[in-house]
Amino acid sequence: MSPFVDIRDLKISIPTADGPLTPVRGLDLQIARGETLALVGESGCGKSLTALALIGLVPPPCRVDAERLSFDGHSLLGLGAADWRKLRGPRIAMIFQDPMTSLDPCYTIGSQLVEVMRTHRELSAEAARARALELLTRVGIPSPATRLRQYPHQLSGGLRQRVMIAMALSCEPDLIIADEPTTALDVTTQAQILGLLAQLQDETGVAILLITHDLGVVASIAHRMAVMYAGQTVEAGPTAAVLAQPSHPYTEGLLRAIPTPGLTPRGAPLGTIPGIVPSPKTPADTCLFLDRCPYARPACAAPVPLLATGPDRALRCIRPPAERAGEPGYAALVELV
Amino acid sequence: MPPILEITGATRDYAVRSGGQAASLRALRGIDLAVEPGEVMAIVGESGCGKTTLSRLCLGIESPSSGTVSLGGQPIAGYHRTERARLVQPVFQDPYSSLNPRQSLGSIVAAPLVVRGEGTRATRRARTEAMMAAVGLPPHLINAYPSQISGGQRQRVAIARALIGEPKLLICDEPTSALDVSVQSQIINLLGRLRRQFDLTILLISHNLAVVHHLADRVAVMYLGIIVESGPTEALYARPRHPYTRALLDAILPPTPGARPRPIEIGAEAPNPIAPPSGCPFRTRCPHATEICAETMPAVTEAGAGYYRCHHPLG
Repeated sequence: MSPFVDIRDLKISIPTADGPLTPVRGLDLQIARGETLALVGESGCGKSLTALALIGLVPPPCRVDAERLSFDGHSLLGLGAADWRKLRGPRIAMIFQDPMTSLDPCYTIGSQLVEVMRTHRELSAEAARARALELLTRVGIPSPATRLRQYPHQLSGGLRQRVMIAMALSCEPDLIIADEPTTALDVTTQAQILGLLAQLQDETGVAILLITHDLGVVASIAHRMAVMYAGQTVEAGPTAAVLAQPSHPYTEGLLRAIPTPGLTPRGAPLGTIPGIVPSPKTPADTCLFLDRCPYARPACAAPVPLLATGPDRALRCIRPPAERAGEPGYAALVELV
Repeated sequence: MPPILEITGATRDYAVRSGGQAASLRALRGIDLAVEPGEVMAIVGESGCGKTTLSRLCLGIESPSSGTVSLGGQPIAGYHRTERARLVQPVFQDPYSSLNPRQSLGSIVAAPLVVRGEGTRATRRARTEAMMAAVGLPPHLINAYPSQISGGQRQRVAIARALIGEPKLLICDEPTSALDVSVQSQIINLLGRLRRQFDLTILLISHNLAVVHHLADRVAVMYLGIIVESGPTEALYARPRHPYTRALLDAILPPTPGARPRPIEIGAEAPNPIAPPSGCPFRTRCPHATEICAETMPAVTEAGAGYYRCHHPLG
């Protein structure tokens, strides 16, 4: 049986006068029902475009190709507008990074929630209003009846994000895509929103695709994670296993670069990854991490497939940890500051 | 040696309109802060707590409504603009908006020298090259433009521009928040190295408590315009006395396997700064608040090398 969400070799390209750019060029990920999968990567790696491909919102003239792009057994490739409308909202909901720009400033919170539900469900205005009240209560908004009559600008960032979560839940979807849901929030609010997402998942069994650049967020809420680099999945597996034993040199480099109070010696130089991310014009006929990798060998100058390396682990690297054991790797890099 | 930066009783009010009425927003409500030569002092707190207003006072871009800000032992208001710029320089958060896109990197970095009329064209060029090398920018970029370089390189340019005039104090307002993780670590390392190389004093403003832990010698925690706790970094992280500091530390999410977010004990809503709560500003979110917290602002209690302001400090 194919996984609940199954993406294999997803490619998204943008035609330009100088030839196509391919910001996504080999993205694989699978999500089971009821699990949280974190898609991790730095800016420009194609995380957000991948999310848009899952809800059919990749803007033209971008082209979406994939060996497989399926949701609950149905292919999402080549769906028409009417088919997408049946999925978007009722089955797949989205939470964006900035709740201020994704809520309409001209309408009350209540009317925006009611609109979503009445668009997708046969609900009377009254029933929809009652359900909106119930949803706001459920996402932990104090005095929900008052909030329903207020406009987005009257709410704090944390409350607005709770409203977005309520809206995403309103049609009882099977999958929520959360694109950097806590990046615009203060740190204490971030922890509370992550707690809320985990609690709602326990209650409803919704699957969550969490898109983030923050490995701390991943560690705290994701069951499984996929690491993206330059438009490709480079590593995937259960969160605890990947964080404990990163297999891809990029994942290893990222983890070395993050200071952690209590673990990283204060003031000691942090790990760095030399060089910069390749442009989406770079052809994927070598390992895309080649120029920055301390473990690179001449054999890396050929296309590298994503291969299973164990139960539920996959890696796009021809030099897995066992092969590079004993090499100094990042430790040998004299920092080029 | 006197502190490089000394702030006493600084307040800052802004005239705002609230519900159609003229109102006054007190962004800073009595800040006392001394930064000693050679140290990295961090200011942490959530958005709207007054961190950035404080940095603007330190740069002399704004004046306090009451209280004083002194640089090198003299009131900052007494300095001429160019004198002030010799002492203190900023590094801003977003290197995409803080560099002029029409200027070459060489002329951006050399700008402080040109403004002051220092040196000849040739000596300025030599100093620019040396400074670019010091921050790890390859020499050929001297004629490049900001659009041709990466975010991390832009932040290096901003740091080079700040340091070329050899200031005593660097004000870094969220210097790494706009950068990716791998680049962030390069800039943190660079600041750590430059600090030793140039004997710099740094006021680091950040909401990232992991970065602050790594770089800062001392930390001041701000909430709604006052410093609620301050102390040496290790001591403050090991034993926070203020419940707000505790909550900020609990909110750090370490990228380690099995890490679960610790429950945040405080209420979600920061109060409206136009109508701050009576007594302790934190009481509306505090799990330990009692009547006295609504009546009086907690006084400063000395503890070790630091202090806190709380009626019910943590043990």
